[in-house]
Amino acid sequence: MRRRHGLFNVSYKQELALIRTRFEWTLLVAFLLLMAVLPKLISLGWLDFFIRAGITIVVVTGLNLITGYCGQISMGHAAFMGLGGFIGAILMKAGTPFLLALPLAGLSAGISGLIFGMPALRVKGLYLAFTTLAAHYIIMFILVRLLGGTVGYEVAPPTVLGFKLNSEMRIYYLVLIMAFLSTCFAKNIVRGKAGRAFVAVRDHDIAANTLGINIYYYKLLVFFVGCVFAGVGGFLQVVYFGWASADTFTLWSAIWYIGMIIVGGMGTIVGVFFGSFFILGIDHFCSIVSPMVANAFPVLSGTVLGALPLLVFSLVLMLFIVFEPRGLAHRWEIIRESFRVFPFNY
Amino acid sequence: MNELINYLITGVANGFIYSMIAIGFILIFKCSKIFNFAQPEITILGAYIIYAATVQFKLPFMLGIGITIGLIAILALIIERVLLRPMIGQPILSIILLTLGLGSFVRGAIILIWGTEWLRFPPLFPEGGVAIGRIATLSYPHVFFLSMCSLFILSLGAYYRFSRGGLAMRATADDIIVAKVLGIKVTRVLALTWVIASTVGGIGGALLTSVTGIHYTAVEIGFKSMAVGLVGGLESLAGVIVVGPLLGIAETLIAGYIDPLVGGGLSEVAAYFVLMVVLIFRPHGIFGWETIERV
Amino acid sequence: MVNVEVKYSEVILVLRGISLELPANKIVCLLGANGAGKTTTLKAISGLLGSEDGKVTDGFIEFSGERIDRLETEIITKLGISQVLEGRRVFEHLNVDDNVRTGALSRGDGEIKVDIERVYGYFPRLGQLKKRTAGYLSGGEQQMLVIARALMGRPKVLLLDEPSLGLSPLLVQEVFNVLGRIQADTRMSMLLVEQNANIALKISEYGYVLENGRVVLDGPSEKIIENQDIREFYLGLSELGSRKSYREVKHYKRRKRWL
Repeated sequence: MRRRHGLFNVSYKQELALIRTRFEWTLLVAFLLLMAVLPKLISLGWLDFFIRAGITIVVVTGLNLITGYCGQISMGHAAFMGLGGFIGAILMKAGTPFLLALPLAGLSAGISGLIFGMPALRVKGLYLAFTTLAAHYIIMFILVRLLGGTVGYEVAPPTVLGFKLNSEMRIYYLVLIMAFLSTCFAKNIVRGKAGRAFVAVRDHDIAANTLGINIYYYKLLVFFVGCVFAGVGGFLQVVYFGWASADTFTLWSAIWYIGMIIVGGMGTIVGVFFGSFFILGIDHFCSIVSPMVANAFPVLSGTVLGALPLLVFSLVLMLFIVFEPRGLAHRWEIIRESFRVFPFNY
Repeated sequence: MNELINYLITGVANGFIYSMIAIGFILIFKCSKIFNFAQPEITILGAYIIYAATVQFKLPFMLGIGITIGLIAILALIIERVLLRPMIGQPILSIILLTLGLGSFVRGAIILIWGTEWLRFPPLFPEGGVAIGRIATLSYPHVFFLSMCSLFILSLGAYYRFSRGGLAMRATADDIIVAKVLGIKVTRVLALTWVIASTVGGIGGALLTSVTGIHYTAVEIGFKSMAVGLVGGLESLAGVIVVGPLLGIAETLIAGYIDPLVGGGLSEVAAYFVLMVVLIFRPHGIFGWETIERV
Repeated sequence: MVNVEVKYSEVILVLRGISLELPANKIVCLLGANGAGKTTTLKAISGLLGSEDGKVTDGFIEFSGERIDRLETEIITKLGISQVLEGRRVFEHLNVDDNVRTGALSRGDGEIKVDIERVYGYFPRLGQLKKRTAGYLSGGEQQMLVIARALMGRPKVLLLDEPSLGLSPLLVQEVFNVLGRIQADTRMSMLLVEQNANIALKISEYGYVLENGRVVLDGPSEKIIENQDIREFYLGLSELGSRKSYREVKHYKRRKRWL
């Protein structure tokens, strides 16, 4: 984040600070307050949107760490989500309390991330994209065949700290807290030693190695951490839907998540927010618009609902890649800068 | 024993189709370093077009193939000109994601036009097949596959190796800047590679689905071909020709012998499992060229 | 080329208004230290700037009366300007014969066979290595190969980028001998970029010295060889090779007169 004029960091502590000025504090508090009272202000349909957005933010934050900050392409993210969701569901069915199942779900996803991230030590770039694709298929196979995936598990509303999560609103608060926590956690990682190591690995891993950064350690670490996020997100999704099924974790979801970090801005925390809301917004928009399109073109009516989001999403993705590869976050920076230096050009 | 031979033959036939599609894939990669994640979708697009031609419009099969080739060639040209020209020189991640986005777009278009249920072809080939000695019979579809694929692969190979156009392609694949300096119209070469790759992809998809029926999840075919390409080594056409049938055989064998034990589905994953294992030991594929990185 | 300015990525100014002229049938050399802008000059002529995000931002380049600075490389090559890139970039995975043939891909069929014979005549060693994979050739052989390849296009102008790079002195002599022969036979013009000022000045008739993107000296090659500054800084000859007196160096540092 750019600081105002006249504001200098005179100590390392200040450099690291998440929130630097009183202005930023007030902004953050206002935002949190807004989020907190949101359920009172909006309808149920929108609440669903925000819940899904929150879950997505958790998951995509993880992906952002892996791909955005560390440069490791991961197409298997949806599968890791699924793993977390399934493990969590199985645990809860076996009676584990929610607060224990959540970290365990995340952990199991993280460990699988470690395992399937190991090819990253040997391959790079598009080969890695492909091994993660393979990882997706293999994990889904495990889920479906060995863990009874397609039938799935029913997940009863869990009880957290005495609150039974049987209403949308309560789930919303849970998701809100998790999204907040995961963002803080990610920001913390990013500004610390690990975060800098990730970026070094992304930019030029061989050079980073010569500087003494253990790239093997950090590549595995980022997969672990990123997949913990995915697992937690997957578990949240399973709790929200009330059902754990393999069909909700598709390869196409993984591609959507990748699209979100591109559109939002890879390697930025705020980009996650931009990307998630923007893409989910497109999805929402499509579902609203589909009936109208169907009425206009009756011959397409049966398929529009499924196809339109895909078409619009992929079009948006391609446009962004060609014209604004650094995503909305970059655009936002430019807009802010232009306000700051108004009326000059640059 | 009979069963085994049948599995082998089917595997080889299927595998050749994977090889053929993979060759198209590799061609694009060699010449322009672009990994075409849209290839799977273009593959099944070919299948859908043939379906449309033969079932919906009731045209003869061969004409359907001709139309497929034509339409996909045009599509490839458009893609190359509009999307990929501006992207030369961009980082590989962007290009991968662009082709991914393109694939999604094609997928969306397919779903829009044809919906999401399974579509079946009417039986295109007579029942039965060609007998090979007394050991096995090669069913007609497989005869068709093998012959078409061999035809394609051989003619592609000959073109690549012996003709002037093929030489231009090989030069462009080797060092695109030098090729430019020598006066080779690299844009034309690239466009041609895209056309070839997409058409073989479309044909391959059409062939395979004529037996199994079409569904939008048939993108599997394309992804498996990508696996074949990667395992064989992205720079080696010969490697791909070897690996394809091997994978096909592995699939059919697993489907026949192991799947009933596990409850099915393992054959799908076989390709990916093999891929991961191979890439861990030989990160550039079995026959691939290692790129030497300098710091 | 007249008053040409070249920028990379719209920010890095590499050529700051240089003008040079390549008369027909002559060999002209372009000297300069690393980073002076010699390769960029050649790339500006042959149109390769685009692939490195560079542009000619001022001035123009003419060939036979027509402007060529905005043209595509392939077209410039067809017009008769061929560049031999630096670093002996052969097509590594093709064999020698294929490499030579790629040089003729931009032409119609016609007299390719004749040219192939001729080219092997200039470089007999290549003739012996026809089926060898080009990537495995020695440096000298590769350099000969890239020149042969460029010749296949029957260029009117040959741009050579540091042909002596990495070659042993004996090989350098051999290559340059052949270059001289080729020039005598075909009467083509050559623009020779070199760091080895010695041999470049010996073979050429006119020379330019480039420094930091500017031409700082130009003239007939004989004059340049005699120029004191050139002798000191590019040819390594000072005071007729006698030992430098360090006292002199300290008190009177010889500076380049054109700064």
